Amino acid sequence: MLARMTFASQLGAGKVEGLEVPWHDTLPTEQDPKLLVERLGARLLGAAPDSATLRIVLEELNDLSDPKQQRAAAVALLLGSPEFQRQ
Amino acid sequence: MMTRMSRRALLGASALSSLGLLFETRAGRADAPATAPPVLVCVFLRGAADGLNLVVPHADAAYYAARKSIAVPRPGEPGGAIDLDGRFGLHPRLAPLKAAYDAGELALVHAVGSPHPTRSHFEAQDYMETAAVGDRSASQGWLARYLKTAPSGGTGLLRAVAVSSRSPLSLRGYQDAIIAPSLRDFRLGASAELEPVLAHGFERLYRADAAEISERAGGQALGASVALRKVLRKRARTGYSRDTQDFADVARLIKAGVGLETAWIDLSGWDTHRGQGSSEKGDLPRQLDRLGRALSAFRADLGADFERVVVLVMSEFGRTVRENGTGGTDHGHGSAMMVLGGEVKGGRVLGNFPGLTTEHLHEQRDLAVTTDFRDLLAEVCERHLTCADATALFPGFQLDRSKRLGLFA
Repeated sequence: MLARMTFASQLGAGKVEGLEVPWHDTLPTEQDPKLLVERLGARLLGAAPDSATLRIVLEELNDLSDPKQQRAAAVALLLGSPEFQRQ
Repeated sequence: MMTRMSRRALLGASALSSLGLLFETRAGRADAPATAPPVLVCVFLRGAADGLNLVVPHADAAYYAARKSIAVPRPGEPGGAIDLDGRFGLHPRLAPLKAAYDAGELALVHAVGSPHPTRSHFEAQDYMETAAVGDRSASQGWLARYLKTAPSGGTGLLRAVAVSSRSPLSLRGYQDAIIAPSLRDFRLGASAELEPVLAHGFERLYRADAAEISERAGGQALGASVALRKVLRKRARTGYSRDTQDFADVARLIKAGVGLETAWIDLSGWDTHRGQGSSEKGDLPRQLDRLGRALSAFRADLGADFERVVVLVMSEFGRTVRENGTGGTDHGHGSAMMVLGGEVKGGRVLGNFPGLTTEHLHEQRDLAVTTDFRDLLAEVCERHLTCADATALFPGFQLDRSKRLGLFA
């Protein structure tokens, strides 16, 4: 499980060797973290805006100010979340 | 909003408290060795270690006749074996272990192994790790069976760790085992800036007490990584070198009193088909040098905790009695095992060594197996660990307790 979380973290940060994910094209950074999480949640999880997972992810982004870091963290937490595992 | 540092502190505290882990100083738990669980450390020498050069049958003329260039000389000769009992000697690179032998804390078992005749590394390792000899369909490891049936005195979070680049089959079936090439690698891999945010976020998303198994496993893994980092942050005792750090890490876990019950350490590089060497130079002396230093440092490091630890050194099979044309040995059958621990009744070479003349060899080429490794494992499980009856750990094997080696007082 830790390896899955680590992979999600590295994928979100674009640090998986040999794998380039064009996050900028597919998921542009957002100034509003709430909008970012809702968009990512819908794309990656098909999650409703009021889901518990999205709420937790959004709260965690409050510690980050850089929109790119926010996007990386959001991707990592959503792809590494139990909700994604279930799907 | 919390600061990042407070979140990091909260993560550690909440993960540990939710899992009931308590870390106390040694000074603050003087009764730890008496109340802490017994620990079994399995060191697996992958590649089939040459038991005949680990524990040298220096009184057997056939040994020297079969190994013109790689035999370890007799005791007293240059580079000679370290005599143990007039019949057997330790390889000189295992000299750091002689003190443990003399102290009665190291027992050596010869002509031990699996009765299955396979000479395939993978097949033999599988049989030894599932302890279901000959059954290719066995999917659970014997340590996993033990961990699932034995009562745990602790939280279960750090009951079992494995230092291995692969998932040891011995632990397959026990989902809470912590497995990593290095215990220091068992952590969330993320940048320094993101790591605290992600760690905290994942800890909230995964709950160690969740009903759903994947969610619980994630929570436990996170908690274990936090616990490991906390323990491994402590400075190691001197005596270890860079190539023996895995033993230092396991010793730290034992001494920290976090409920460790089994540790598995894989050591590779024992398949000495060429350039095996005799006493000083060659692949085997180099490997034994590392093993001897590691176990000696481990024993010294543990101090009073050594009383509740048994180290079992094993390999999938032995090697041919006769050396080959490239200064090495090929896949064989019987081998030697080491049993090291504070409560071991050591200072003896155990087992029925059948001799190395042709008529006594397995298929006229290998050391015969006279002690089934499962008898040895069962004795360790029943006498050292908390297993009342080891029968269920070894499917299809009829335990015969009259065959016990007498490893423990």
